[in-house]
Amino acid sequence: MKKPKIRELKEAITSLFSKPFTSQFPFKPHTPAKKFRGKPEYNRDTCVGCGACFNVCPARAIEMVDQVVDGKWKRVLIHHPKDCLFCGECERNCITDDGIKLSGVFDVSYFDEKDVQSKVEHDLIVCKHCGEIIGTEKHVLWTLRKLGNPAFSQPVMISRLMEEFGLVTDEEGKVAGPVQRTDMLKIVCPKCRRMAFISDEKKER
Amino acid sequence: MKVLETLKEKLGERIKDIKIHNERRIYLTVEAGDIKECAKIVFRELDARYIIASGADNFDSFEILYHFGFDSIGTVISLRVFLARENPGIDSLSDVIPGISYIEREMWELLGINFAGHPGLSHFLLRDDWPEGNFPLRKSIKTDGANSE
Amino acid sequence: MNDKKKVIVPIGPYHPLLEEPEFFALYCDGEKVVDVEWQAGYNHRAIEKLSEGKHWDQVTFLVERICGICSTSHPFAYCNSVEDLLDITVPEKARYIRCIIGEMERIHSHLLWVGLAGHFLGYNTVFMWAWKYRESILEMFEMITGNRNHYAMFKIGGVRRNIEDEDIPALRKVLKDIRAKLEMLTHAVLDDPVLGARLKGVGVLTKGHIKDFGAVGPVARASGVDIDIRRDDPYAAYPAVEWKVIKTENGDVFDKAVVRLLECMESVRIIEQSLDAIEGSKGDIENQVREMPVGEGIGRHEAPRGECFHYVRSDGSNSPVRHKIRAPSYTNIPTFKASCVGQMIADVAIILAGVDPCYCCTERVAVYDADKKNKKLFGFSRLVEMSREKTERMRKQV
Repeated sequence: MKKPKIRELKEAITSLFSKPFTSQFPFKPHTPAKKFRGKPEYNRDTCVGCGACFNVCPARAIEMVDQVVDGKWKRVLIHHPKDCLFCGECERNCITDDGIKLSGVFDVSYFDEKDVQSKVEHDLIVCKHCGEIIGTEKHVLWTLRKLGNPAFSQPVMISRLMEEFGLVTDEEGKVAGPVQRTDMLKIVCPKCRRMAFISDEKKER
Repeated sequence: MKVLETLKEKLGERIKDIKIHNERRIYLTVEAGDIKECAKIVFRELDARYIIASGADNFDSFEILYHFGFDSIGTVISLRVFLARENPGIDSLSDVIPGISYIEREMWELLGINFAGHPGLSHFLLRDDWPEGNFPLRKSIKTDGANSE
Repeated sequence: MNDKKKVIVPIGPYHPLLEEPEFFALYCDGEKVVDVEWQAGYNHRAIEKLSEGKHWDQVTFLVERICGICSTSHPFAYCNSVEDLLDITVPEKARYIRCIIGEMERIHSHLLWVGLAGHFLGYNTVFMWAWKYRESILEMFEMITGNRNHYAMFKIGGVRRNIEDEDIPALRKVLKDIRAKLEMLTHAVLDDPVLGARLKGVGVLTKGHIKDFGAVGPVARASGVDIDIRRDDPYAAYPAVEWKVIKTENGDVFDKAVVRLLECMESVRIIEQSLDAIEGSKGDIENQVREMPVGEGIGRHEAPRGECFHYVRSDGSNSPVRHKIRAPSYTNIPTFKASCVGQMIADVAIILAGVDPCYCCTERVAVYDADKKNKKLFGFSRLVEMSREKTERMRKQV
């Protein structure tokens, strides 16, 4: 190359006198773009524990466990960054729009995975007769607020509200013995409520 | 749909079934024994572009679709053949279409379809010591690796 | 062929300029390559099988991870195939957004290729500059989609995210800059005497080879085969914007570089027109899909490396029963059998690179001398070095 071309020379000189193009990452902090899809984080206040994020996750990076802790049913949702694709489906499909949010955190290296996991715990409402899981407490209340007045045609919601206002104590709410018609307004799963309805009718006949 | 008329004229009796999804996607069913002549006509005489062949497991039979592209009109013609469940086999097209030999090797090892006249049926994607008679793309193999057959 | 007289140069399995670890055995007679053999599957991830266990919507994320460079091309083709199955159309705005994402990806993929081709020839300045220009495109991706590489934009029936009006000015500015840089780079490549001497007539593919192996994309277009799925089988907003298919006649590595660089300029034109179309429009970005009928569909997309082909079959359930994927490299790679034969071993690196298989996993090449029974092992860097030495020799001659 005997005669270097002017335009390349110009580019070379501008490159020579400009700052390095790459960012100085470990020494200067990096701010990702506004829409950057970083590590998803649960919001403890707004997550209702419905499990939509668990269902839509393409990589099964969200774990949902229903378990008994100290005699109480709890639902735990755990996000594992090691499996995560950062696709943002959990945020898009969240029923409250706010329960899980992608943060701007891009650096998820860890020594212990527990340090980076995002975890949220919820109380579960279980059938007072058979112990079947109905849903998380927050989810039921969220549905109630969302539905407004029509929600009062739903026995579980009425009884849950009655409990909240102290009209029914926990002891009174328990279903003792076989289900009867009177148990219809207690917190029972749809299956037990059907049983109560049918068996009671039989008895009357 | 001129291409369909030409195909009907050229392939004649060999076409057993025609499925027109829309004007750009046409599926023709032919007998497994006729595939070599049909491929010759479509690939050489009608000057279609070879795209790929897809093999599928239909539980009761095997199926191969040979996809050809007519790029001037944007149409994909798929020649469909059905193969028997027991010992599936078909003529290799590698002397008609040189590029097809890799996908035939792939179907041979993943689905267990035998290609008569193929110059070198050896493992292509799977490792060389893959257990014989284990065909991972068959429906009897679940995604976790369990074999229900 | 008498193997005893030949030197076998195995390339791979972990490396050779390919998206995945693959293996090539070059049979050499002296400096000349007489035959090539290809062995794949070292990174077989069973995506087709996995796809049978995922929901229709989740498959878009699975196929996005087939390739790390052209990550939109597979979801694009997959969405086309499912939309063909469903017989639905995509809202106009979503069609333009799809075009913008697809073409931005083409620019960054081609720039990556130009940079690496320069690197293999010993033109490290080209490598640095091309990757610097590419960086601004990746930053735009982060700004409009939320990630530099896996955009997660595609959805059956539309796109997942909108391109907001406030992002458009920044995108236009980047396009304006990159157009000037691309022009500079294209001219620099076109009238460089050393590059011309080094690449012209190397790895020639004729029209006959292209037909036999079914090669697609820039590889076919450099040999004068006039195919481009964007024009031949129109989808998204490609019929609505003005652009032309780039085609050259010689089929050597130089022409492949020219096709890629000129295609980038066309991509800039497509994006600019698409931005004009979506700016200020308030249209829908997706059509909801409620039910999946029984049937089959074929979808194609012109990825940076050529036609990407997806075939899906549904039995009406929640996941596909068969999902066949053909990446463009699947038919482009066997052309090595035609292009490498009769070439010098120093040219092999650039011929392998000329097809633009994604370059990752650069590992090692071992040279076996079957005749003398001695075995020399050296890294892939040696092959690149040989390529650079040849460029240096030619530079002195020019």
